[in-house]
Amino acid sequence: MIPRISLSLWTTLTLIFLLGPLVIIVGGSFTEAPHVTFPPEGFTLKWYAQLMEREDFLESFIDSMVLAVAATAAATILGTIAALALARENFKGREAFRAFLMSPLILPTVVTGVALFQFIRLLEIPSNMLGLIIGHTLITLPYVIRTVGAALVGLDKSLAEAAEVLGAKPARILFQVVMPAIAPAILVSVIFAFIVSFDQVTISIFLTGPDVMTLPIRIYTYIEFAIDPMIAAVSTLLILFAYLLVVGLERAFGLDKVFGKKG
Amino acid sequence: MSSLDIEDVHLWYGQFHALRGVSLSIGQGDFLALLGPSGCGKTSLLRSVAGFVHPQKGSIRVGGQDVVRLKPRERNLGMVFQHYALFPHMSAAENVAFGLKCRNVEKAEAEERVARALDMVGLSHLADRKPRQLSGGQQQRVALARALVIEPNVLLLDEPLGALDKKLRVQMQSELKQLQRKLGVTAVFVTHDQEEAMAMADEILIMRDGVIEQIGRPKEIFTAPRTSWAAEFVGSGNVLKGRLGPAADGARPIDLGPGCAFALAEWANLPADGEATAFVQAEAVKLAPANGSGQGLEVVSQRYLGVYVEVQAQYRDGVLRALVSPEEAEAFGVGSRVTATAAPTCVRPMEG
Ligand SMILES: Nc1ncnc2c1ncn2[C@@H]1O[C@H](COP(=O)(O)OP(=O)(O)OP(=O)(O)O)[C@@H](O)[C@H]1O
Ligand SMILES: [Mg+2]
Repeated sequence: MIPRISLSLWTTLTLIFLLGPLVIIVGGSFTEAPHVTFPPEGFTLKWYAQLMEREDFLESFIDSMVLAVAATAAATILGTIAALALARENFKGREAFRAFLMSPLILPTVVTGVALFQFIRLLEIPSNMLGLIIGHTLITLPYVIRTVGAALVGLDKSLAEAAEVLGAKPARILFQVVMPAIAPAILVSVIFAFIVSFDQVTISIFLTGPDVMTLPIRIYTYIEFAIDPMIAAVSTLLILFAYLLVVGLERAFGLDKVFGKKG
Repeated sequence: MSSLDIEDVHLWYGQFHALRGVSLSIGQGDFLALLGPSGCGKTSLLRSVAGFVHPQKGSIRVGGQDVVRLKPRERNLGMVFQHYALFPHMSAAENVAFGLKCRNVEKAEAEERVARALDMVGLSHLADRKPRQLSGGQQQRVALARALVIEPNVLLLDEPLGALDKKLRVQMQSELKQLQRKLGVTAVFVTHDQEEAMAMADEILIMRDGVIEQIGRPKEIFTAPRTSWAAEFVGSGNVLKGRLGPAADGARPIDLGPGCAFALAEWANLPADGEATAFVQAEAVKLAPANGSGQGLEVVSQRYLGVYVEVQAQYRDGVLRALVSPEEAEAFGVGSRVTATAAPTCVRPMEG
């Protein structure tokens, strides 16, 4: 048995290791020095003020939100449908289909990005946003299929059968029995898909254009020239955003439920 | 509430022949128990009736109507699953109401029927609980109410009590039986448990590897198994194999070596002279102390079974089991010598 002391020591060290970068970023965003310093030298909100004047960052944030919401919605709907199909027993070529849908997870993202770039050029898709939504849907789809698929595997088959002998038609079984049972998994995949999309750099690099630039790309281009505390300010706001998102979900649904702790 | 007739049903899962010509008939309001070892095809038969699997051959009629081509939802059956299969996000009342919703029963009528069904299983006070807030026995009752509220033609139960502990199981057995009788619903009940089948069924069907080994009233199954396999399976007595002697006092003795004196009262269908197989229930075996040491059979073990004591004695071909009262058992301690006999009417001929 590991002694208690050393266990809590390890936990503390791990937390320090994981949270360290966050603390440095948050602290660094308040520094008066012209570069990120930790501990901060003095205290100022000027980097936040400077950020507020950068409309390009705000636009990028909105672009990223629109993109993440659209891609998440598309991936959740398509992925749930695909997972339902993959859960059927009498499905010829199921494994091939599954491998095909999961491939964005296995291929290097750069390869997927190049391929998407060519594909979208060939199709002459007029809007960069639409191209980005297609690309982000593609790469978030495997997360949805995985999560919802796992829930379907764990779903007691006799539930659907019980509904069927009771006289339920397929649509009723799907919407009143199966969907409520896998709702927590669907919610989890919404979170995954949103984060993957919101965070995505590699795919987006190939697909952004003059009319849209996602926030990660904006940050990326900015730090090519300078790493100043304004970037730390952006990051701090993003951390706050993620935190509020999780707390909001917790309030709305209860994360215990979302992560399937309770039935 | 209808009769159920199954005729020469064959079911293959790919290459595997799971049901191999099953035929049976149960009357309206009867309670049939399907009994058999694991993998013999009990669930497959039940699922064929329900319509989840499709026998390639044979007919299944409910109330005279052939249902083989009907979907499960068109068969109007009630089904109770081993793990209840209650819808986890619905309350007890919503679970019970589900089948009525599927049938577009008017709201007021549905509410009344749900209330009555819950009352029938004694759960009115828990109508708003979710399944996970109910005990195993309570979940079982909700599942039963859900299956019965639609007034099914036949009620199918696949080891419905399998997940309950012994005491609760016995209680549910009698509740279930009473309810079934009161409603007069035709029921097919799958179980592993001989005692459960005995306690509940009007008729017991013993299955083995996809065929019917024997079908009959519980008493018949337990006192006169048709084959030695069935006898072993129900485990209620002894299979005796020996040469038949000439008739005396209206019975023919069966030779089992020294210390055993068994005779058959019924031998019309047995060969005039030759080997025969017979069955005698453990309760019917009478023991007596043997006179003279080295005579008779040696008692090799004693086992308390509550009301009875099971005494095992070594005879020529194996171990003979007898059930005696605890007082009698004192005379037959391990190592003592006994003789064994039974009334000739209790020794039943069997098909090998
Ligand atoms: N979907 C299936 N595909 C292939 N074989 C199956 C399938 N379902 C059942 N079997 C086989 O058919 C045989 C009968 O199965 P069944 O489930 O009817 O047995 P059972 O009598 O209900 O057993 P248990 O008491 O263990 O529930 C078994 O050998 C089983 O392996
Ligand atoms: Mg079974």
